[in-house]
Amino acid sequence: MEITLTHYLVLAGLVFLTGMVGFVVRRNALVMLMCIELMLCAVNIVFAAFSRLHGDAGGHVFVLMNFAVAASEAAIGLAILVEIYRRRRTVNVDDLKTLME
Amino acid sequence: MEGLLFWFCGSLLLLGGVMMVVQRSAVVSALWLVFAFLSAAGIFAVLGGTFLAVMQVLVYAGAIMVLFLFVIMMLQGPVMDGERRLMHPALWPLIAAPPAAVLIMLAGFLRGDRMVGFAGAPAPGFGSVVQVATLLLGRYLLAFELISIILLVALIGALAVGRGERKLPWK
Amino acid sequence: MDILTALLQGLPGFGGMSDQGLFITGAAVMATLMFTVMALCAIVFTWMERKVAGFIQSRYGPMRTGRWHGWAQAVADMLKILGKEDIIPAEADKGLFVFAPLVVLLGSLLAWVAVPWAPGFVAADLDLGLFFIFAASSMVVIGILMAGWASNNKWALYGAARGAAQMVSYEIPLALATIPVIMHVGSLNTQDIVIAQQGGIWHWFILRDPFLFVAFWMYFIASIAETNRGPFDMPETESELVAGYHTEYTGMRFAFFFLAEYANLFLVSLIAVFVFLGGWWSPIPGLDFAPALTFVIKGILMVFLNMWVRWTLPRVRVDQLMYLCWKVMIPVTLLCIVGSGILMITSGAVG
Repeated sequence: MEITLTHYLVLAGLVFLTGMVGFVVRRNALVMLMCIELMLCAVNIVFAAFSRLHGDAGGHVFVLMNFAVAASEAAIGLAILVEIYRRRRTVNVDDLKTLME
Repeated sequence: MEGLLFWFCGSLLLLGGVMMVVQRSAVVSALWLVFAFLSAAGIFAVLGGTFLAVMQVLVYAGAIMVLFLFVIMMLQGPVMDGERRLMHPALWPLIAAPPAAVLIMLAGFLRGDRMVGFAGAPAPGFGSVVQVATLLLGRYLLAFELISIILLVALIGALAVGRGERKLPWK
Repeated sequence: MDILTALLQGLPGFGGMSDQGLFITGAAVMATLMFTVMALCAIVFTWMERKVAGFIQSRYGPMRTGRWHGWAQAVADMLKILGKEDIIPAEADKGLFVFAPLVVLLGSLLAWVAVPWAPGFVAADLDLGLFFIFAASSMVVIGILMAGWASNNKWALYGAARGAAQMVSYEIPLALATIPVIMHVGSLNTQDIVIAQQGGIWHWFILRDPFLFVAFWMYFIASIAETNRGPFDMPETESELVAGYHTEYTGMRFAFFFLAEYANLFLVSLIAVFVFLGGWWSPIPGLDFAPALTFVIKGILMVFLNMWVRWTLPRVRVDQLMYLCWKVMIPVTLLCIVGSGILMITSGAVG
């Protein structure tokens, strides 16, 4: 069977879904951040697939931008988590509910 | 050939993603995510983006995931207390419902007549470093420069947040 | 690869093969060749390392095994390592423990694919050659972190954390130092980089302009740190951490780390040779009768320089290591890029 754009989109959808479910199910803030990275990766696949469809490498440029955004997000997110861990001795999101009470 | 590579890399990517979510240990999760990102690099290569594929390995597997692993190893033991037990069974359908709906929607797309094929093989030089660089420093120059500001802000932000209680040199 | 497939076609019995069959056979031959070279260089370089260390410290080094200057000592050591008991600690994460040495070895093996040994003789003639080498060798860091974590030993974990921090940091000046050369060549292909240096020692990139000369030494310092060798051997400081991330490893698995370490040493030396030191071209124009031999000899000289540094300088502290990388080497390499670019424009090399 020939591989079409739809195949790539469905694959990206499934990967995004995995990341989304993981984000909801996991309680470890570090793993939740990793799930966000996985969702960003799914978005990148869509960019690359449409880039191939139109024969225009503009999509690749946006994937590169996405890499930079993902790197910044990981750097800041991890810095915040390290700081939270220093103060509260946990990165479990169930224990971090000061604003809720 | 393209089909074979797509199924191979795609299934490995999904396997990596699912294993990341399922594994209790954060370190093992992160290693499965590295695996998923390497498979995603394979998908980029199948799509003609060789430069992207190498970038994916260099940036994700070589830098971002190393940062993650580093922080996980610094902060905690293999499995957190909160993740030893399963979630409350009453919550399971609530979590499963939206993905199931999306899956059914996606299945609708896979009917033969609705598929959008690619128009032949990509042009020679598509996705090469020269083409991407020309676009990056031409049509998308402003975005390229703005990204550098985002990275700078992230750098300073991470330093400011991670500094902790230590005094700043000028205080 | 092309030369190899052409050669195979000429052999009796291979003439009737399909293109794909030829490609696969060629790839298999190339992979075997690469692995043999890697294993050989580990053996030769351990002997060389001990002899160089002995010479620098005014002693003999191995002298007995194999009569002539103890040449068989490294072979004997290898046999001893392979004969040792394979131990997996009871508290270790078994899957990761077994897998980690393979990842380290894979990272350093993959990078060898794009090394240009001689004109047309390269395992994979990639457009992204140099970039691919850096990406592939960044996998080594993941393997080191895996090894340190799976060992379930605090010294191993400290060693792995130090190693990862050091390698991720020094990858940046390592890659930045090669950028002026890429600007001169206008291509990342490893063959193109060497071809651009034809015409004697004055055309090698190290002597093209002053900024490239500085960039070469920056590359050299970063490459020492990248291979975790002294004076930057923080991951395995014997006096602080027992042996770093491979403390718990024995037998064959330890041999993998050992092999990867020396393969990496030779790899970074070969990169220095083909990026800055003219690759397979001899210093005197017109004397290029044995390109691959010239290339390997230059690589061995670079390895010697590496060993000389290791056995001469004292080990630095971790904070000094990071200071050197982020506050000295990265600014200097960035300056090299800008300076080299300005020189290119003023000399009219680019429009």
